[in-house]
Amino acid sequence: MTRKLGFMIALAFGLAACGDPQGAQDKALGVLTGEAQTLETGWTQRFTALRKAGKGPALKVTITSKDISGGFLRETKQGNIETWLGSDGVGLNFDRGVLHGTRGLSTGMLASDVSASASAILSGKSAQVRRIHTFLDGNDQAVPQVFDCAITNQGTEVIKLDNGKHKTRRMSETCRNGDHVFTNTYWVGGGRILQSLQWSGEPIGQLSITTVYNF
Amino acid sequence: MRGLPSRFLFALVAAGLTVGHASAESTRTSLSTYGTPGLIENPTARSLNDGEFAFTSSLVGPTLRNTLTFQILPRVSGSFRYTRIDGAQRDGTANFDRSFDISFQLLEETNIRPAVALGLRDFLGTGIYSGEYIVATKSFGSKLEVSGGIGWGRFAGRDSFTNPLGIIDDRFETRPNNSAEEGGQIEAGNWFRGPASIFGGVAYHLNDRTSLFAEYSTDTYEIDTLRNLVDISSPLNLGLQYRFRNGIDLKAFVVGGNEIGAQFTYVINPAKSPNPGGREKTPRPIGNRDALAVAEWNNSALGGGEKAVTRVLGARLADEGIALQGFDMQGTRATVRIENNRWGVNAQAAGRAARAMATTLPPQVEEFTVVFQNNGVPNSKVVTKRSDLENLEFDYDGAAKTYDRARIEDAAGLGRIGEITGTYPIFDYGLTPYVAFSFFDPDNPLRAEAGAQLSASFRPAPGLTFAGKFRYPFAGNIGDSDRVSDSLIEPVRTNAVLYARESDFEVSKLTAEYMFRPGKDLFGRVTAGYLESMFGGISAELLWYPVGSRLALGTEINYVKQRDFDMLFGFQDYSVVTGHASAYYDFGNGFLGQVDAGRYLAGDWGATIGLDREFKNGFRVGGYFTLTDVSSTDFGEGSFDKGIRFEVPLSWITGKPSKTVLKQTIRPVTRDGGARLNVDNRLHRSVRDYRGKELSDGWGRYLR
Repeated sequence: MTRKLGFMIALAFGLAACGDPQGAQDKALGVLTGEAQTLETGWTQRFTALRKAGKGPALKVTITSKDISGGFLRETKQGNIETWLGSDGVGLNFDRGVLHGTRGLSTGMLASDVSASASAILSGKSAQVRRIHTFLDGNDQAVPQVFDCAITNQGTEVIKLDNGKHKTRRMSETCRNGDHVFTNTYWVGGGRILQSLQWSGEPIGQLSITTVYNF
Repeated sequence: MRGLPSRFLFALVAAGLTVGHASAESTRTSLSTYGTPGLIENPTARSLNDGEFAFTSSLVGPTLRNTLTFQILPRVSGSFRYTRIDGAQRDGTANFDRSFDISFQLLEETNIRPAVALGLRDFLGTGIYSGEYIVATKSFGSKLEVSGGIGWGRFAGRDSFTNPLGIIDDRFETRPNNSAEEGGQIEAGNWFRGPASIFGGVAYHLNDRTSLFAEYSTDTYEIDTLRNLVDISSPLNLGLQYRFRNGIDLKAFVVGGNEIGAQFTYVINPAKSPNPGGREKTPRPIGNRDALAVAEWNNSALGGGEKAVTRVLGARLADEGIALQGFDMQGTRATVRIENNRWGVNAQAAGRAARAMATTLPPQVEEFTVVFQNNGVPNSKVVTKRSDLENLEFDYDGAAKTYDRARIEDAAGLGRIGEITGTYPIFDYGLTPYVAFSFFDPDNPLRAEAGAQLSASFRPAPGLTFAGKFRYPFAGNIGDSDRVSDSLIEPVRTNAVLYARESDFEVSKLTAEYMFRPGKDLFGRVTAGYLESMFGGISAELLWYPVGSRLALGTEINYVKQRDFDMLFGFQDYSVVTGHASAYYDFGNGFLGQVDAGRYLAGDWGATIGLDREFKNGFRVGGYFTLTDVSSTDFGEGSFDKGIRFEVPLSWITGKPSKTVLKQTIRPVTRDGGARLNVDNRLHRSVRDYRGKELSDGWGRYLR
């Protein structure tokens, strides 16, 4: 149990902090503006309940540009969509392991249609697909962006996770919308995405997502 | 919304250290020492990106210029400038000058044609910078930009020639020297008159970050040179600029051959908040409603029922910063009456409230109504189908689809049906620091006072609020000013120094306020007591504002008496009946107009015209002017009241949900003509955030 607690505590208050490089500044602003300190405890109870339930695996998510990490547990699954709750109140939604939405992360991915990508990646087929991400822009507007993506099977690769080595198939997906290009990489094993590097939108950029079995 | 005028500058300075979201480096426009698009001192025909907001501080010899420039429309920009010239007064003290500019881009650049702009500098001020220009700018490749133009007034200081516009009419050949003593009037009679000069220059961009400037300037700093304040011995100015990623530009230059200067420019784009997605905690997933049939609060065998449902719902809403004030559940419909205490964007509060309902209420409930209450008074309601929430939660077009399927309606006439026992009384208080500023005192342009502020409110019933605000200053120099009122009319505002000097513990406000709904689309307010720091009395207001309307109409009448300078409980002799009829119009493209016509505090009659540009995220920049029957001579310096104003939602800076808005109005000079009573909670602003247009502006956050 110590070890399990260790993982989550080590990763607690990670990702939320990424949008918070000026924690002290926020506090100063709060005092100056007489802003009441708000208690947002609902997610804490939800997270505690998930941790007690102990159902895994968990995800370790790292913002690659900042090397900040957070731990996530699955909260709900509705059809192909899974919602994952972070130890710091950040939320990530996935369609079969492909990033579908973000909450509380500065980046404004509201929701997506990544079903074609997810199907191709899991089946191991190289394919041309289209994905849609709707972002909340800095002016509070929901802006859908359509990306044309090329998915390629890059062959097998053995990766190491916390419970040992896994033989995976590495899939690469390069997506384009005008001048905007990003590349995601997925390591697929046992019918699921075990590890991935996925773009989450500006200003956070790429997330590194790893399955953790002993949490 | 809580307005926090006095803390605005503080917060922006703090925020300025980190908020940097101007356009990408290479496309950012360089600004001159005057804070408008330019090389070093000369203007260019470039413009900022639409909506961008630039602050520039530049030092040229003894001259410090601080300029705010706002790109009002893609081709129109406005600037306000505050200048200090050391030693420029006859007695050797500094001269302070305020000036307004406006510039129009007449033509955009094409492959063969330069961009062309026309500018009016200092067209309202006392005139030291007054001048007009037409300038053209053309790029050659990605590195070189060449500008050239013709200027009048201050721009015609060197190598000037007879005005070519004399061809049209001889009177263009002379520039009248008839500046009104008070300044502040539009000097259109002088524009483009008198001699003209040709100026020009080049910008060379070494890379995305570093640019070099060279220009031929026709500004000789004639008066400053006569007083030996500045040494302008050459028309050639040279400059070097370094551009940082966070929106800041630093520039160093040599003006007139000998004067070394430096400049700081900071550009932000209000339409690009630094945390576009926000940093609020993730909401509870909506999930499968069938699972809720067995939840203990819905299961009568486990003691569930409406009471238990209300308790769970109330707790979940409270967790979202939303107070549940009423709940009604009948068959397939449920209504919550809520007061949003956390979310700056009410559409997001509506979404979070509907989500709390969807994750709590028994499965047979299909229609959710969320009623927004403000001070306990129902304002508008959002009606949503539960199945739409469930089906669209993960839809990439969920924001647009939920908006199409929701109904937004007026919520008048609900009475107190479904009110939750124990909602009233509501008691609230806060002890905070405060900083109050006084701008543009000629001896000390920025005076301030800091201290502690206690705010308390007590609401025994919906709409009825007893509120007080008390201040105790610890330190400050506002009262040190020797600027006593020299007003030729009733000194309703110009005694601010006396109020600061003679008060210690001060009752800033102590009021009883009643807000109510006289009928559908109507709002009412009556406030009595010590309404503001200088006046007390009674104020009544009525507003007509249909839920989806662009137009709102209001009327307000007040009887007030001037308070004693000690800001305690006594009154002076002066009393007045003041009031206005107001029209508010949303032009639909982000521009909001307001006209208030009526009688002002000094008994003068007239009208105020205001225009604001509001971004959908709530950032707001605007200006206003007031013309009354007080003559410009009687008004004094500035000729008539005018000002610029800003509002920045705190959440724009931090990304965290908040209803706090930082506000500041800057008046070049505060006089007694055209002065309005500062009563709190004027209806239009308290009501508007809950009406249809504002809800639709924020709907991107409904499922957030």
